[in-house]
Amino acid sequence: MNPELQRNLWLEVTLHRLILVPVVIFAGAMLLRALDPSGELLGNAAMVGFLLSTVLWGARQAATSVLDEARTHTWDIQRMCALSPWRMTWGKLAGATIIPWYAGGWCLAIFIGSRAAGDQPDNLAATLVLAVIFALAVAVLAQGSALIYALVVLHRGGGLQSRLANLVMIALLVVLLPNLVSWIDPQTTVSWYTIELPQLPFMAVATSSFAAWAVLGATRAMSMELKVGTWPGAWLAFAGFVALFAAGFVGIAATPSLPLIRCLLASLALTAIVQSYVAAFAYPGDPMQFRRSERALVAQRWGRALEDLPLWSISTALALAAALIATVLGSAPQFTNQRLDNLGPVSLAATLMMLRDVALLTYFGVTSGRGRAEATTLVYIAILDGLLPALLPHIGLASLTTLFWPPFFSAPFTAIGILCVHVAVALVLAIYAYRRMATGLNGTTDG
Amino acid sequence: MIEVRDLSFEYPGRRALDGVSFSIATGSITALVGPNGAGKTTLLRCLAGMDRPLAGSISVNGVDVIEDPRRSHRHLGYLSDFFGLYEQLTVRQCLSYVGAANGLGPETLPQTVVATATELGLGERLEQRTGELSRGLRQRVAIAQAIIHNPTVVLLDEPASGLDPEARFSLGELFLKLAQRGMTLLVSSHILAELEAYSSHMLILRDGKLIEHRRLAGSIDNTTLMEAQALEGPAALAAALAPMPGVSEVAVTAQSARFTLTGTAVEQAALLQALLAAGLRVNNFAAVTEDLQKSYIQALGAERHPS
Repeated sequence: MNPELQRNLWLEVTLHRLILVPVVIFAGAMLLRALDPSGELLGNAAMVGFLLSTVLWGARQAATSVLDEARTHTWDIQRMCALSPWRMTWGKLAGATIIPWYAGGWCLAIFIGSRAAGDQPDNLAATLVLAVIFALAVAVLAQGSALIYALVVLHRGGGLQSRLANLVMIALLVVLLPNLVSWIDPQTTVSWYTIELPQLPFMAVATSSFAAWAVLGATRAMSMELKVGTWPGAWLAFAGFVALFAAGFVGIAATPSLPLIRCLLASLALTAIVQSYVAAFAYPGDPMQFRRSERALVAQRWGRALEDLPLWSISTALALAAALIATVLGSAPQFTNQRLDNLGPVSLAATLMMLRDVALLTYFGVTSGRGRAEATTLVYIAILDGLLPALLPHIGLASLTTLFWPPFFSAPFTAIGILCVHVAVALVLAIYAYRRMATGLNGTTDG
Repeated sequence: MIEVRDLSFEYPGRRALDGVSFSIATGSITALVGPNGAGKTTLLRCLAGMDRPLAGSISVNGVDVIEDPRRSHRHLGYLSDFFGLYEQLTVRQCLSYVGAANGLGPETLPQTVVATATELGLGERLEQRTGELSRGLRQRVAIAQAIIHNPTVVLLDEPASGLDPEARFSLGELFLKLAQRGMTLLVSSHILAELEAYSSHMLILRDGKLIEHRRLAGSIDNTTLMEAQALEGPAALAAALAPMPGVSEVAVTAQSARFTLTGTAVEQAALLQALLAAGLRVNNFAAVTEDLQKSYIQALGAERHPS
């Protein structure tokens, strides 16, 4: 047996819990059955119970499985063992959440039982299977995401609060629960790449795919913490997957005349931009990482250089490449939706804006140190993109507004020009700070 | 056993290790000493593959720690200065977990758990939760976890901190026992008197630089630093000593010859007899004793004020 799973089972599984959980669930089920003999309320409540147990409690357990190791100083034991990142990840995901899954399993059994005992539509079995797959995928997605979140917190040495994670999970449930009935309704359809698809199978497949990505992401995050070098291939593949998935909703559906390749490239650029922001703020600029990567590059150790590159830089390169190609392919023909006009140049301008922000974050990461860099960067972004453009017209300098908030949609090439200046200034600052730090270190040691 | 070459590690704005190189031989116990902030913990964490250095290489038992940290962990045991234990688990469960996580199979794990616990004086505590143990016993559980997979190298960061004198003494006894089993130990501590009791080598770090790395006087690992004088003079004595069996690292001082002898008192007596038989008029022949505290202060002083 996976030792990490075994350890979690020792910690989590007690006879008391094994008895108490079904007793509480069945007592609640009997009460609901008495309140509504049709079983409708019981079935819905059972599904809600499954989600509360596996999404809220299970995600919390998944995150705690890592955060508690840091709190109790046992993380070093785990880092020193020979378990692979994958075995460590699934051992934690399956082991720490075993009681929520146990409770969820009883809820799911009651859900299936109550549906089977009610009206018997023709496709009941298929609907139930798909609903169960969807529910299981939501739970795995939440738990995998929670584990990633906990590993990021660990990497940063704290800073993000578990309260924030709880709020995110509660928000997820607030969105999920009211829509659950409509989502698992077999009659509802969804339009994806202009094709009408039945919603339940689509949701089951899509959520399962994202759940698999969450588990893969958790394994990669675990690899980082265990200092196992990983190439960013999965990170790039995830950007591609999300871009393909999202383009089916927003690109083609909104503007059927838009050439597919340009739509996909713009979607890829925008996905990579979001990825860059998330990565830059989750794994804030570590100057030592740059130094290691730089040294590996000088030594022509390309694999090691790639491993040491910050994730945001990989996404930024991807966003730039996709946006540039989309721009080179030319502006779009006549669209009804002006927002999607000139999709390529707009995505290039957005990429430049992101590059500026990440360069600022890197600058403050070097000069202010971890912890302060993110907050300082956010303040400067708010000044550059919000306060100044709002203030200038009121002090008679309206003509300067475009220097801070360029006309993305009306004149994207002008925006690109202005943002190139922003990027240049931010990059000069970041490179200057980095070089000064590197020179200072070299001066103290090599000199 | 441990090969470190040009190891450098940086924190933002500060170089914690600066081109550190050394080799540590099998079966030795090396005292890692230095002032606060010298880089001792950083060095241990790099050796354990827990922090990735800026430059340099680390090899433990032939495995590249930087390139393949997980594989190197099969050869490494590590006790951090702020270790924790799974307080809800019993001693047996803790040891079983760490043993299995380090590749021990189900056929050998139960016996290994019992054997390791017995070796560390925990045989009677196997079913006790670690949260119920005293500080000294918890320390022993942590060390048992670090050695259960029979690593060739054990890295210990301040292992005696917070222990009473009796527990410290028995910890030293344990380290000697582990070294006799063939394990190589690198022990960081501020308590030099305690290190003196069991260390065979001393490695001094200061401001991330290696100040000194040498064998200590004494007979910790069956190897003794000896000093001899003869009326024929130190050079003649050194020439006679060099080819003798068990003798190594012969050095000539103003008055005497210093050398390392591998062996027990029997070999020492045999060597003296051999020197006399070779016609040397030996008038002094003794093991050198060393005050670790004094040597440490001297080494730091020499580094601060080179003359």
